[in-house]
Amino acid sequence: MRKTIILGVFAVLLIVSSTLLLEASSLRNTSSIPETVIPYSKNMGVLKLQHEVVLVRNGYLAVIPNVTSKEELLAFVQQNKERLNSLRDGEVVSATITFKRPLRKSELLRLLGNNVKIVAVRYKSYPKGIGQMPYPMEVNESKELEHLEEKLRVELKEKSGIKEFRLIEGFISAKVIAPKEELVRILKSKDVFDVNIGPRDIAEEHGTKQMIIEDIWWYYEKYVLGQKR
Amino acid sequence: MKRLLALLIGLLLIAVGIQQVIADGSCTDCNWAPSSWTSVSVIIYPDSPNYAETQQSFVWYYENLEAFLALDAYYQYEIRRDRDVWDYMTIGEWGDIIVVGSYWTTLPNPTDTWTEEADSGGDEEFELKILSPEDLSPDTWYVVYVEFWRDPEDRGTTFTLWSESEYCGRGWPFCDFGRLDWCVMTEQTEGA
Repeated sequence: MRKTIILGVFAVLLIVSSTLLLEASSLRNTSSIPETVIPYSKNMGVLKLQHEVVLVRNGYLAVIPNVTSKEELLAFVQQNKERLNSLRDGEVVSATITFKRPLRKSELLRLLGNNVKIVAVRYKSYPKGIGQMPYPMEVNESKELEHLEEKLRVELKEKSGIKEFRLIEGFISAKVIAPKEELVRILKSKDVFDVNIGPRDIAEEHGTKQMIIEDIWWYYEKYVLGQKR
Repeated sequence: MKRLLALLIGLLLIAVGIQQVIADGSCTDCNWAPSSWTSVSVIIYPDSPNYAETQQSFVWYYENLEAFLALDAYYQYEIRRDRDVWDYMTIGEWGDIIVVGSYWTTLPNPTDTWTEEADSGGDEEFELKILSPEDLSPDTWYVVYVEFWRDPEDRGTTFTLWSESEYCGRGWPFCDFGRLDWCVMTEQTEGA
């Protein structure tokens, strides 16, 4: 009898816990996204904003744009412009600048000027491929890049039949640290599509100023250049 | 009661074990993963000893890509290490995160922002997440090249390096944790 009662209690507990687990599982599949940080792993949380996803990491935020149409993309760019204008004069921040076309190294350096610290650049290859490397970059002189271009040329010819390959067709974005005034100046250039300083209020909430912000070249190419083509 | 408890714990351990075996399985057993891949080539140039490069190519044939797309998921490519000997990111002098590595790929809409390093309290993994998986094509070889910075203190030692394919369902911000799986493409011992 005693054993039966214990087993019965145990069965009830199992049913209740299974129900709770099922509910939790269906909650995870819901499309409604809470505006709080969702734990991703022991060292990371994820936060969904209107046009971007923010990874809250140890000591920094990673910001990834998330748009699904030209309208959303343009709204995102406008939001970024407003964020930039809301900075205090002279405030120095991390930012990611997305260009309107692949720029040559000399064009990139002339556009950014001497008061902007470049952290990393993303570049487009011809006829395909995207790469990222930290700055300072050694575009013509680097043996490593020459090795890489040659290696990829062989690989792409062998596997994809691509006969002509250039590792760096041009630079499509730059991750920088710069004062507000420089970023405002850069945004006015005809070659610049977006300057994103990320959600600084969220960064402050999490006690950090450091952000790694992804560019929006892919979406610009898809929703703006793609439509023109 | 004790027997029942022991039996339940035993069953739980077996279930966890089975799940682990499945999770850490080879990509040859996963119909959603690339159908074929090369080994990971590792190069350290004598004139650039501070860096190590990895390169791998892989392809989805039609059936595997169809199975992957049916999952409605993001694809993630990883280069993992069992020891903190190479860095893609590192911690700077003032506790700031610095990206010291570089990457190149033909995968569509890639981002390295999910990369984790043991230095900053995570796993030791370079991760390239593909935000536009719908742009993947069958019978197309995709290439991922990664450059890591080599920690001078560890040179001359060995470690295990392996490449993984992973998916995470779309829905929640770039990953629905209810739908997640990964598999190993290659594994090798390397000199740090």
